[in-house]
Amino acid sequence: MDGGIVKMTKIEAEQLLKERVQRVRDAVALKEPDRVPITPFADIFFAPLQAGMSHKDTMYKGRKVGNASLKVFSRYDWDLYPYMVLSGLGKLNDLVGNRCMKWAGAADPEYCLGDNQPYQYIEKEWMRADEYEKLTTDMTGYLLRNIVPRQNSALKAFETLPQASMFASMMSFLGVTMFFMDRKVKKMLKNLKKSLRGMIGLFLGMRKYNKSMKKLGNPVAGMGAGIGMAPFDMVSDTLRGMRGAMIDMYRNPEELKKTCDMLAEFQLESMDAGGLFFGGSDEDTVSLSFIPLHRGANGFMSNKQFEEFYWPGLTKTMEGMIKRDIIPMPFFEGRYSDRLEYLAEFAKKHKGKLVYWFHDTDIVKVKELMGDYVCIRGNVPASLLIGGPPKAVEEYVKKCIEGCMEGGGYLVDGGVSGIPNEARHENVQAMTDAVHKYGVYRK
Amino acid sequence: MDFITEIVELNENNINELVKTRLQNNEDPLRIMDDVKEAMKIIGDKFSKKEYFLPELIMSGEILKQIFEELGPKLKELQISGEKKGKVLLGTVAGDIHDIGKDVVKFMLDANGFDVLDLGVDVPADKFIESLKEFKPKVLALSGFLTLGYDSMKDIIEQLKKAGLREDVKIMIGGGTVDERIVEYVGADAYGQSAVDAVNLATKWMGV
Repeated sequence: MDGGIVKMTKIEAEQLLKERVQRVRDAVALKEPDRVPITPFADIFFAPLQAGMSHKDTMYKGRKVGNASLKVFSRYDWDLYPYMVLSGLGKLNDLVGNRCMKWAGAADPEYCLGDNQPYQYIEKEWMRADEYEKLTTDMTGYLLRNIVPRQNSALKAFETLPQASMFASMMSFLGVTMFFMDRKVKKMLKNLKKSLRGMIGLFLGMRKYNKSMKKLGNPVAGMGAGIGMAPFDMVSDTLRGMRGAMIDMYRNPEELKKTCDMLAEFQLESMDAGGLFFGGSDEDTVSLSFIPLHRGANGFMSNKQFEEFYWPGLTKTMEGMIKRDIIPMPFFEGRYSDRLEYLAEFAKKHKGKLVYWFHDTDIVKVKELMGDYVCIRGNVPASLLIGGPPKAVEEYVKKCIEGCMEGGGYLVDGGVSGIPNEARHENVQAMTDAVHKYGVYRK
Repeated sequence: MDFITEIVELNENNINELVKTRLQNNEDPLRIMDDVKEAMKIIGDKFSKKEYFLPELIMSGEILKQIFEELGPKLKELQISGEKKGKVLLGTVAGDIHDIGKDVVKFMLDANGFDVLDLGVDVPADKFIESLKEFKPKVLALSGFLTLGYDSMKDIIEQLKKAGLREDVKIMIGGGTVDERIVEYVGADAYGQSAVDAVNLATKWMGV
């Protein structure tokens, strides 16, 4: 398997794909498959770096990223393969003037990182504390007229978007037409059109990669309804910044809670649209909706604060997803040992309907606590996948499998972002081999 | 409630009034600052005991800022002086622009009386080495959230060895994806899982 793409007939590939998908489905539904599935995600730069590309090229050369992903991932005998996202994101960022991240090759020097640096988000106070009322009175209007222009320099013209009340007047078209006649708006639309073309290219690239992988019998993970967020993290990451959000716990607690509740609601609404966009469920794959969690980990806040500000918005989001037949997969980055009771209680209510992915929490302990209710995913440390040696990787995976395989409900993956950018092939191979060696339920 | 307790309890509305009253009574701003330092020490202790978390550290920083504004000109020639326990050089390593973890470590080291020089984020190896020569710390604390930070840390420590400076400092590392396995990989002395570990390590190494 190692070192190249294996050729196979169409029937063989279809059979292999079916087996793999079923293996993952069984594990998620808490049934014992024939073997513990291995379902890695990969951080965005892993495959391109393995194929000799730079971070900068990864941001700008979507097609090359697609080829690299196909070549690199097919080396491994996995059950569900990473989906390809954000390839060619650099150009899109340039077109909209994204101010929320810095990346290699950015046209604006202020936002440009070195050619060999991964992109990184900039967290800051985009929304002032005194704007909560505007936000909660008309969320879409406020975000479009205020946050979108602040976060994207080329979309500044949205600031002048007229109130929708214009539509209630006899001559409503005038106001709307005037908005679109404005020189700045016309320029913005031109950029948007270009970025739309880029987006289409990006999705076509994803589709091509998925199809090519399918031909090899490799199911690519479905995106479900796209990426979900904990509402508190939405406030903390992209509206108020962590500092602002945490000050609001003291100064504006009611506004903060109301906002989180509304964000959960609107996020679910947009998932209805997103489900259509991403193609909904697909019989050739398993769709697990990734919810990367940021500020809910141990140390960021007390259990009392978690219970008051973080958990309600997250559970509302996950419950809404489950109602829509979407499988939420919260990624518990950092350590969650202080929150396990909350997690267990939720899992108990939604048996077999979600996947918990852990980074630095003891998953064998998690299995003991809630393994009867929820499928666990993780957590081979980045330090091992990068630093090795392969023997240590094997031992770690063996320990996880032995502690978590009983009754199904366990997926092997890395702890942070799946396979980290700088992971070494021999360590990833050792993780893969260990699953095939130790993960078999019955021969 | 007394002034120190008001700060510890984060009652920001009462604190401004109290500072004003104390200044009107011609109290020495230095004494006010002593109380503030004492309060920050208690807040740090509460953080160590998991009674306080990041929201409390951030709020106490806000309150501190307000007190400084109130004391304003009277504080101009006043440095927060006093005996420091020892010097720690701190920074997020090259390639990485994350600062939350580093800032918490700085807060806790400050609150525990260490003299901390914070070089900021995305700090190249030569900047660490240059500052090490000038500042002469006993402890070097390297922070990194991204996995690319492993190699940046390794690079700094290798350069320190080349420059013959490695034996002059104890090196601690920490950050989101760092764990004890990385200590050996990069050639550091210890790993800290939290800011409390950072204080404990610095205290142990400096014998204070």
